Amino acid sequence: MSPLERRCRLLLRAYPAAYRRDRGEEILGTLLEATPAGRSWPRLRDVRSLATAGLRERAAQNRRLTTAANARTAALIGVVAYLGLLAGEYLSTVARSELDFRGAMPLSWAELALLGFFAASAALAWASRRRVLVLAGVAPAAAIVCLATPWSTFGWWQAVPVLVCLAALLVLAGGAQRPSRRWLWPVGIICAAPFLGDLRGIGGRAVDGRALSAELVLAVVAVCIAWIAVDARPAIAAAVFLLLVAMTIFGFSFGGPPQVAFLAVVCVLVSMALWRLRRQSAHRGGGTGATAA
Amino acid sequence: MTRSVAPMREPTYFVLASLLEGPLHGYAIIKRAEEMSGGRVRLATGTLYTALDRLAGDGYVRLVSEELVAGRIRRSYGLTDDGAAALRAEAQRMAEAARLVTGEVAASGAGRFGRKARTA
Repeated sequence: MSPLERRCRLLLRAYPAAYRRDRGEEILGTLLEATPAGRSWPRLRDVRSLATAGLRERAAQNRRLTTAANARTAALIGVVAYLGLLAGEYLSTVARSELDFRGAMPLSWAELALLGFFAASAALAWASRRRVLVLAGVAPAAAIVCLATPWSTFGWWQAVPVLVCLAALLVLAGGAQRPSRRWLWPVGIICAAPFLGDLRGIGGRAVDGRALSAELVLAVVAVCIAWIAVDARPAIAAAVFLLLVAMTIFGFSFGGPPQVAFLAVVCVLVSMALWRLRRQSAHRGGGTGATAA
Repeated sequence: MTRSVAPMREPTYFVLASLLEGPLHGYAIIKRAEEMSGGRVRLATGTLYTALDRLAGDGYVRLVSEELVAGRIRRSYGLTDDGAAALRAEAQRMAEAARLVTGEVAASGAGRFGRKARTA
């Protein structure tokens, strides 16, 4: 494969995977023919037009679903991302304490129940209607076992947002459209970020792992918000995620100036995202596919 | 019957015009449109396929053939009856719009600013 072809293929990644499967080789052939001989990069106007057309095609994917269906998917992902962050935080803390104090001791019942709760909750977002019924029993049971266990290290201060998430998942899950697996990427990164907290150095250089972990989560949120022109759903998911994180940090005391400013920013973000989502979604009717984009 | 009511954009017009003489594949459409427009319309690859998708959706072009060239699929597109009718309607609209100016200029014998009219 020539460097030109490799770069052209990279450029085609602006298009959604399904479109690339159907038209990718054809567009690539035309692009290679249209590039003057001897060049190792496609022409600037081809780069610009393919990037723009690819992103437009991605935005058009949402038009199969209504605004409500798209907003539901986004809210589900926001809730799962928050639970992923909590799971990551909790697992990294447990792993640290296991290594420091308990050696090879197995996890406690409370920890196992909590892991079961996180797994069942995340599965709820992607589960079919039939499996939601099973998970809807498993997740609350696991949460109750965890919270009721006396040696649970998962404090009650975290219980309220978790129960809010569980209620939201039970309401939102099991619709005709399920989120696609592409959403697992941002959720997975957010879930893995807390493990960076233990990092002390990279290549001999001192690194603040906690700061790096927070910066990674914020970077994912920033990318989600920046993606608003192409797809507004990640921005809505980011807003839900930020609200839940704020609920954990601030508790229910949203009266102070920083909290009010934060809420104002989230409200502006949600308004902008919903406005964009309305333009990006179908106006009536819904998609028939079982998996949303 | 033509369904197009809004004026066509120039690249769209030349994509359709390039298919008047028969089906062409992507790169041939780019070259033909450039030739027909005297080098003015130089279609970028992304623009071409966006236009082809839209025109196929409107029923103005259709997929005519698929062949494998150097291991890659090459599709040729042709003009449909609706596409040809829309192209003719657009050409007529532009001709009438041009006549408003060229006809008036020819009648008055000179341009508004006293220059000779250019009707090229």
